[in-house]
Amino acid sequence: MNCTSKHAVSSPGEKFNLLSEICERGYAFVPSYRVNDVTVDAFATLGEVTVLDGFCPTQMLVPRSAETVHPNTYSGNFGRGEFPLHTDLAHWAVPPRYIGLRCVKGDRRVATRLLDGLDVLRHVGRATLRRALAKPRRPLRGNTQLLHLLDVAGQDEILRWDGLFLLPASSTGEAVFLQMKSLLEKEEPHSLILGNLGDTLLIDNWRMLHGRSPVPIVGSDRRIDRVYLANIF
Amino acid sequence: MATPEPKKHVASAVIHAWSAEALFAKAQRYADEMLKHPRDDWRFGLWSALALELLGRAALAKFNPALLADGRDWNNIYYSLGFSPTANKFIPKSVDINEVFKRLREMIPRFTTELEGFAVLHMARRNEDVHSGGLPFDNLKTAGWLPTYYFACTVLIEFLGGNLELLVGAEESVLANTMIAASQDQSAKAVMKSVNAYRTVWDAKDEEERAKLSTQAQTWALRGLGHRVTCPACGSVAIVTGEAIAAPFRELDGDLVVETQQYLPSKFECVACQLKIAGLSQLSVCGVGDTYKATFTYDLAEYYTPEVDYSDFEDDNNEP
Repeated sequence: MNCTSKHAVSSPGEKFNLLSEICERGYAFVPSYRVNDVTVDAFATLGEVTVLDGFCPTQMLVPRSAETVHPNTYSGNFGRGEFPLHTDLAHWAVPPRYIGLRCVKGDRRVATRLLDGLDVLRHVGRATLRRALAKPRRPLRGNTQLLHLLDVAGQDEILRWDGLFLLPASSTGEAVFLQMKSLLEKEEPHSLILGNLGDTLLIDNWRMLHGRSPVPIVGSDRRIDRVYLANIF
Repeated sequence: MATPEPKKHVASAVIHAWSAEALFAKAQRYADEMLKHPRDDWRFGLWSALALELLGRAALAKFNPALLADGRDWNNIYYSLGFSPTANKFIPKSVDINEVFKRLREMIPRFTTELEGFAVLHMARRNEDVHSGGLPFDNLKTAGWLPTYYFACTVLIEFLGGNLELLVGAEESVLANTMIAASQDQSAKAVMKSVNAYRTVWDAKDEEERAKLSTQAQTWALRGLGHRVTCPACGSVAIVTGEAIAAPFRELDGDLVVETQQYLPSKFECVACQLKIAGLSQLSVCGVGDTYKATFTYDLAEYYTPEVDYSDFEDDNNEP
């Protein structure tokens, strides 16, 4: 899993080398970044914001109970409970490269969880993951398509995982799904809290699995903004 | 050989059904089904044929999915390019699988005439199985087809940038490589037996006849029918012919156009001792399997003047 460019970004008053940080550990955290900017403008200083077909440039993530949301979302399935580790849009042919999360209203009781996909590759094996086939649980744009749990994309690799939106589509896929579920039960993900306004997390969605800890039943008005980015400056 | 340009991987929801990625994934799915059965079971054979077809189509799609389109309806080409034809009741149609393997033979140097022949035969078995009451995969001895099958798969997967393990897993790919090596060794032994037999017959001829036949062979080989080599059985001048593996390279030399092109040999013939060998692996064993360069020279007028075929005239006739 390579990073394709290595430009350091320099924005007024701040200097980061986010890409090297993301290459190093799969994500980068920037505390209270550009608190006066709207989310999409703040992210536009860090990378190329991409607007996906059918999505708003910025999506507002707020905890919701399962009964109030359609089942085509994680909230519709898990409500305020724990969101299992996954790749965003794993059921797409090519999932978005980077996820940007930005705290608008923090809640220190709720954590974003991260697991390095390199650990998955080590445990399951590259060749096995490249043979393991999955398919979206529902037809996508009228079609069902076969997807590899590990794809090669030029110089990069795409690890995809979603225990809800993906189903195994071959016998190797079935075996690897069992292996993945067992592995994710055992692994201890890294927890990170977006607690303050502007706290910004950039995640390599082709490498890292991410999830959310349970949200307290009452009293949470946590709000996180999400954007997708095609690259990081 | 020119390889296709790398694609930029941007987020996208769906994958084109004729993309190399989609076709290869399906080949993997079929291979998984194949491996659920014993190798001498008919279902192993049938799934193997289905997987090979998808693998062939994936390799062709890697050049461009448009090569898969049945050109009789332009909507198929339009579809292959990623568009949605508006024609009523449109169902995309791709080219016949034999045509796919023919194109691959011309485009991938390692996918030789032998491998094309095997692939076409295996597709014929599949057709017989699904379209008739015949049982072509029953009683099919694995030694007769599986090594060549795995070799064909290896060539196609390596062209796609992977290896056989991606299709059949680590354990089966080790076995497959052993089968391929053993099979090539056996075919080597067989062809050397044949060479030795021809040598024995040649040595039995008297010296005068040998000299006469060698001279005739030298004259025959000068006609430019192929690439000249030394016959492994009798030592006379012989010919190998093959398929072009690269686009011709042209350069001007004064008033002449000199065109050179690389070839991979597929057939050998010696008119002195009558030895004939077909197939790159056999040719390689006999030391006549190297690629060769053919050179053609044209004058400028000959090169640029359109060839006249006199199609409006009657057949040529040397009138009295």
